[in-house]
Amino acid sequence: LLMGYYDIDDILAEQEAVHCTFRTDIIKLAHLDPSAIVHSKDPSHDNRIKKDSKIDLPLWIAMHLKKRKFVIVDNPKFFSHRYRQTLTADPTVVNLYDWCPFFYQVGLRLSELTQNIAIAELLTKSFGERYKTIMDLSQNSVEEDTAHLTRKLDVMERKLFNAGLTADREFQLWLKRKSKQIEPSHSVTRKRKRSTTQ
Amino acid sequence: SLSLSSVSNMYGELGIEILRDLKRCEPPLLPPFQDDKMRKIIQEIDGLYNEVRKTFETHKDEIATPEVSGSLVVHHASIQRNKRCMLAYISERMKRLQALRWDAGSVLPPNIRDNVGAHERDFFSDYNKLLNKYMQYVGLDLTADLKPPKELYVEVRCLKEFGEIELENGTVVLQKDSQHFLRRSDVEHLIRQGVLEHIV
Repeated sequence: LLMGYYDIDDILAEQEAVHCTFRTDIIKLAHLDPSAIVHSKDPSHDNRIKKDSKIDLPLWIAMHLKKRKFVIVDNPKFFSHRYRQTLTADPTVVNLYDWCPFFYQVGLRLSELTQNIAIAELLTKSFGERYKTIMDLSQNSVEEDTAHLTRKLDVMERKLFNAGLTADREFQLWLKRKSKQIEPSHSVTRKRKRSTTQ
Repeated sequence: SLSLSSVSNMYGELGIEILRDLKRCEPPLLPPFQDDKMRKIIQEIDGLYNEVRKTFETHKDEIATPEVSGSLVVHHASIQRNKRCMLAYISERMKRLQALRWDAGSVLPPNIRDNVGAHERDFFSDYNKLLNKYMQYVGLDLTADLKPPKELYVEVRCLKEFGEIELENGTVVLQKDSQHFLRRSDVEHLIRQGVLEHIV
């Protein structure tokens, strides 16, 4: 699970909302609270968010506020007790993408942020189990339509699946001695495909 | 006052929009450069910066209080967030352009040429020059034979009218559907550009 400053999936993962409870008033943050915008017409109002307000914030804001103890972060529902039990019972059948497209990336940040070891353990265990299935499927579906296979996988797992699939495809080509064929650039074939269907 | 994005009241939303737009389009293709949205994000950053400065001025004595510092933290984070989105956007597009040079050659395919921004066109051309200079220096076309060649000559079929090309031992007319047996090194780039098809 690579994380990087320029990684688009990383940035999108940090856009996932988490539930925050403010432990203090903070000025000029009413834009974060859709229900508070109404009051901002009042000139004496400094657009503050009130203590005890409960607002869904993207992870990237929540992370900064939590580090300084300005908010309490609740785990999203896909890390609730019930969901955790479901995932522990049989990790391979759960549709993680439906729970959260960036399940692992969000989980990793949350476990760090809230010092929640249970989440970290859950991630490791369920990934360990699911990995076997992903590996198996990616090595045995060269000629298949893979859409239904990746449906249950989160974004990171899909990348893994595709990496396995590509490697297997290339291996098969090599076995058939087809790898010596010079292929047109992908950018050219895409265009050609589109213009014939139009 | 701050110019909030029209879609939502949250800062950083436009940054997510341009990244999603880029992600929807699979590499090596490129969607049109989002000039307008990039400019709007810069405006948002300017607004946020002014807001931070105003907070410093009007709340000089309360900077350390959670009420004020919390606000500064969020506005500063929003600036950083916007910056990160823009850099990630530019960086991903730059990577795709670099990959294209190796994949499709020194001329951008027409469906991509129309979608790159002026700076990106400059970048591609500079990258191309740099690569050519280096290849001249080492005396080797590094973009040739990306797959190990098994033979010197290859059988090719012409996919479109391309006209005459000059080769070491004479000229060849590349007519649609004509077949030729030519030196691999002479035609490899034409196969990549989709002019010829390699028949195995």
